[in-house]
Amino acid sequence: MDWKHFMEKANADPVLARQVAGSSFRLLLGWGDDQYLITVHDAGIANVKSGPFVMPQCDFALTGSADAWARFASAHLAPRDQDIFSFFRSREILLTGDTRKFYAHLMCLKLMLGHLRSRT
Amino acid sequence: MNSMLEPITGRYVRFDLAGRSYRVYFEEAGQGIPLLCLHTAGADSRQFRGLLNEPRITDRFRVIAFDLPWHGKSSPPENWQRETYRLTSTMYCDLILTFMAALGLERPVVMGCSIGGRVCLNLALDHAANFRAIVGVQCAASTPRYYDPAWLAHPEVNGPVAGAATVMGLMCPDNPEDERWETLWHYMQGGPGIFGGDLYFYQVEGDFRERVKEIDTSVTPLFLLTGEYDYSCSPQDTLQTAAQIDGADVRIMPGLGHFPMSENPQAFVAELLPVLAEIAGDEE
Repeated sequence: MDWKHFMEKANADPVLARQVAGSSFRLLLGWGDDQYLITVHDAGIANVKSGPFVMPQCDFALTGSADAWARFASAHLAPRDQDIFSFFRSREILLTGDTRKFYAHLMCLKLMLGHLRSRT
Repeated sequence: MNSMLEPITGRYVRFDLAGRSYRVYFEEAGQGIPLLCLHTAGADSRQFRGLLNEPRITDRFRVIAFDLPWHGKSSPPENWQRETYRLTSTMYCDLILTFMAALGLERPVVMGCSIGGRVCLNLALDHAANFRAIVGVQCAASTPRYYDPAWLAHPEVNGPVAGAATVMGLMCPDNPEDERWETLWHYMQGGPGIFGGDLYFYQVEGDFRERVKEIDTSVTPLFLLTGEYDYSCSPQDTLQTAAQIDGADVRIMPGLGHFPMSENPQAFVAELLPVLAEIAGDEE
C-alpha cells in the first residue's frame, strides 16, 4: 500500500473533507501481519505510521487477514467486498476498541477507507 | 428556465389502528393495477421516485408508496415521546392492511424492500389472498446480527449520519453517485431511534425461517429479487429462503445492492418490468 498516495487522495477528497471537519481519532489497521496507525485530525489524515507497534495508542482497531484487506482494497471489487460491514458479517475483519468513537466517525471512516482502492 | 412537473401526487390519509390515530403520507402515480411499495428500514417512500416517474410502469400500474408512521412525512402517533419505537411483524402487517383498506385498494400487488421484503413473507404466510402478487426485494427469512444498531441512538453519535454511513456500503459502488447519495440523504433525515427500531423487526423479531415453508404460492405468486452486491440480504440468503418455498420465482440482479429501486432506478426497472408483465398476465 502506498500510504503517501492514500493520504494525498483522501485529503483531496471534497466529500471526505466535509465529513472530517471536527473529527479526531486514531485507527489501528491490522493488515495481516502488518500494522498501520492512521491519525485523523480536524483537517484530514495527519499521518500514517507503519508498525509493528507495542501497545499503540489508538481509539479502535480494524483487524483482518491480508487477503480480506486486499479484496476490500481491490480496484475491481467483487460483489459484497465493497464494505467493511460485509467483512464484519463474514468475521474476516474485526472491530475492537471504542465502538462509540467508531460509530461517531463512521461516515468519515468509510469515506477514508474507500481511498485504499487504487482507483484514481 | 428548464422545468418539469413530475406526475407524482402526494396526500395524507388518516386512520385508526389498535386504539391509536395515524396520519400517513403517501405518493402515487399511474393507473391500473395497484402496486403498493414498501420502503426500507429508516427511510421513506422517496426511494420509489424512479418507479413513480416511469411511464412503462405507470401506464398500467397505479404505483402507491407510503411512509410508515415515524418515517418521512408520516407522523408518529400521539404520545410517541413516551415510548421506544420498535417495529414488530404484527404491527407492520396491520399498518399495511389498514392503509390498503383506508385507500380502498383491492388485491394490490405488494412490493417491499429489505424490511419491506421481509414483511412480504409475513404477508404471504398470513394474508396472501389479499394480494394479486407479492414481490420481495432484498428479501430473506432472517438476517444475522453483525452490528448493533443501539449505537445509532447513542447521545454522542449523530444517529442519522451514522445510519447513512452504516448502509452506504450496501449499494453497488458503480451505481450513479447522485442516486446513491440521494438514498443516503433519506437516511440522514430519519427520526431519532427509528432506523434502529425498524431493525428490531429485521434482526430480531421478524424471523420467519421456521415458517416460510408454509407459503402457498398457488394462492398468490411470490417473486424474490435480490441485488448481488447486498451483503445484508445476500443472494445466498434469498436462495436459501426460496429453496423452502415451492413455486417461488427467484431473480438475482447483477450490479445492484440493497436499495435497487433507489441506488439505480433505471437498472431496477429493467429487472422489474418482466416481473410486472408476468403479474399483469402478458403472454411471453
